Amino acid sequence: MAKFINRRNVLFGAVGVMSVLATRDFFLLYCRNVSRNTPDFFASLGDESVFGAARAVGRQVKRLHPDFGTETMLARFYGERPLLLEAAEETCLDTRKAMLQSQCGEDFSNGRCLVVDGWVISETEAQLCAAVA
Amino acid sequence: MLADLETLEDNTTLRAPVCIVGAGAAGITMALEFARAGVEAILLEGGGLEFTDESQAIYEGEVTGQGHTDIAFSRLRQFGGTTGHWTGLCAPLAPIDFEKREGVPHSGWPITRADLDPFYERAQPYLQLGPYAYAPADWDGLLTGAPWALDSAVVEPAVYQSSPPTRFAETYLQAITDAPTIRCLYHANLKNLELSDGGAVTRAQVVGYSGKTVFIEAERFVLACGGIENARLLLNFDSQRAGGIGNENDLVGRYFMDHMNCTLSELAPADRQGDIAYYLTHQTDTVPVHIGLKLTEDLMRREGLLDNTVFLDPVWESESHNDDFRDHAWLAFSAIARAFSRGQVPDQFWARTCTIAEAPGAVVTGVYRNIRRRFEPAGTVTTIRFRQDAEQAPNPDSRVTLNGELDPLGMRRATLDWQLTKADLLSLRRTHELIGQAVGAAGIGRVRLGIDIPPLFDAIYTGYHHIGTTRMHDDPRQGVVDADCRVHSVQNLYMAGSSVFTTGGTANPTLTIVALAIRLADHLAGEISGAA
Repeated sequence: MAKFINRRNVLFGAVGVMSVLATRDFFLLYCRNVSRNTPDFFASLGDESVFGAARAVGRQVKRLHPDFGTETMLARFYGERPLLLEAAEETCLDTRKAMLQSQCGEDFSNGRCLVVDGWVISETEAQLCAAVA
Repeated sequence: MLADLETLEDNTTLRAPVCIVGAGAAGITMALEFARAGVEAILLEGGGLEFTDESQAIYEGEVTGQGHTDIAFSRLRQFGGTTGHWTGLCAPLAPIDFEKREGVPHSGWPITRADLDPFYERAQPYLQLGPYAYAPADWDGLLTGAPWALDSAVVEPAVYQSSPPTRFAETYLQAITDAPTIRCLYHANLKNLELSDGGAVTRAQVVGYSGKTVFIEAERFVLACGGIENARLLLNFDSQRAGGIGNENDLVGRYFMDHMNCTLSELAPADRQGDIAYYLTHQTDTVPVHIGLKLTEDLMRREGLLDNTVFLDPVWESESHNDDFRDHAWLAFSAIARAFSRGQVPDQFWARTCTIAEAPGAVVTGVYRNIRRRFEPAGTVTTIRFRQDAEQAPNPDSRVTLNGELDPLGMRRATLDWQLTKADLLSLRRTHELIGQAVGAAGIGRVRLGIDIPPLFDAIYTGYHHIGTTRMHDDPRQGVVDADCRVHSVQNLYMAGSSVFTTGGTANPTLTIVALAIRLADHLAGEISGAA
């Protein structure tokens, strides 16, 4: 061990660590300027990290609209929005999020939205959150 | 010619075809327009050439109703008027603002935006603005960033321009002094207007602070003293007309409006690195331009909504890039710094220095942040706040009245009872909701409304815009002045300034004040030269 810790190896080790850190920092720096269309919070229901928040929103939705998220309502709702069924089948998370956003956008464009705890959200978002509440 | 009233003989009588009372944005503009037309005019200013407590104290009064306003210091009683501390944001009123709107009670001017357009164009240079260009397309290719892909049937960009801001005292004092046809008297306070049996003003009684009296005889008189003072003067002149001049239908002082200045509602962006540059300030070659968001006129009509322009205030990840520290001290400091950076001596230097000295905290924070932001990137946008000067509906119960207290000149002081209604705020909430739908549809983010049901008024502040107290209407039972700004019941008395606005719209009022002043000057100059 003592043989391994010599000036040459310490120097190489330090350079290696610094290179890794520099590479990471370079990419973080680069990433600052990369425009990322972060999908909507509500479109990320498959993501465990936002699942709790979605449930919290869902509880608010159900308080205002107890029928939202029920099986009967969802069956009718999915029937009117075939894109959501397609999204449910989609395995690629990014594509699924894009499909959900597309459906949300359509809801907003047609005035199918509601106000929950001050937030102006689409019916799709409200129904999906209520379903997981 | 410029003179202090105190230098004249007591009981002197001066004569001119027209007498303008009030040397602010409207009065000075009118005097200069008369000078161009070769019409002699007397211009009276109650204050001096600079701020004095003696003059300003005359504006003191009582505030009842909506509390977040002020009557004493929001206006300046000196040569140049309130342009001595305005911030310079300008836009014309929108065409819809002049219409009789289904959802807006008491709306409907007797003139249209098209009637005012030529005068707006002539008003631009007075306020040192750029071209008369307020359509977003006028600025294509000249602004940075790109507009969001919002449904154009719902939301559209609103263009505002920034005046330096023009201080009328500094900018036009020399022109007023040099004009051979203008006789400007300062320390000249209007005390009374005398009426003939036929219903015309024959003479104005004007007093100085020492008690000296001067009389003005003119063929036409114009009151251009601001939205509160125009009403206070008319109400005080009740020796020949019960209730005051022009107040036969109990309208003088009613329909007082202000803009609901507030930062309410916010947008959580889907992409925190998204481009919002288009909705910030642009330094163009001609004039600084600001872009806001507003609902289309069709949608406002359909929904019966009041007018509003939302300006986007991004909150940056790095605190150093946020401007939430700004207050009066910071505004004073930045005005001084701006003047020095241009190699000019700042106006109101000592007044501003004292403002800073009283509360230097914001200045310290501001300087620190401005230095830090040179080295520290702004980071991402965490949220975008909605800032606005929203329209309130005309409301006869919102009013300026007189109280029992007398000012040093023996005139009754004003009480300002600014009233807002829940409908005013619910209209703003609906406006934000519709913007929220548009940004949701475009995938830009989600809006959280900042106005509850029922709405609370505690986040609503004055825009320092005093509007509507001698409103314009063809029907004398609904307005104090006619389409020519003449008081319905007086043959030769005219009102200038924001007191004649029938509705307030959402645009800052100064550009419209100046445009209406030019229009009135044209009208009177035409009458005078026609009579000659």
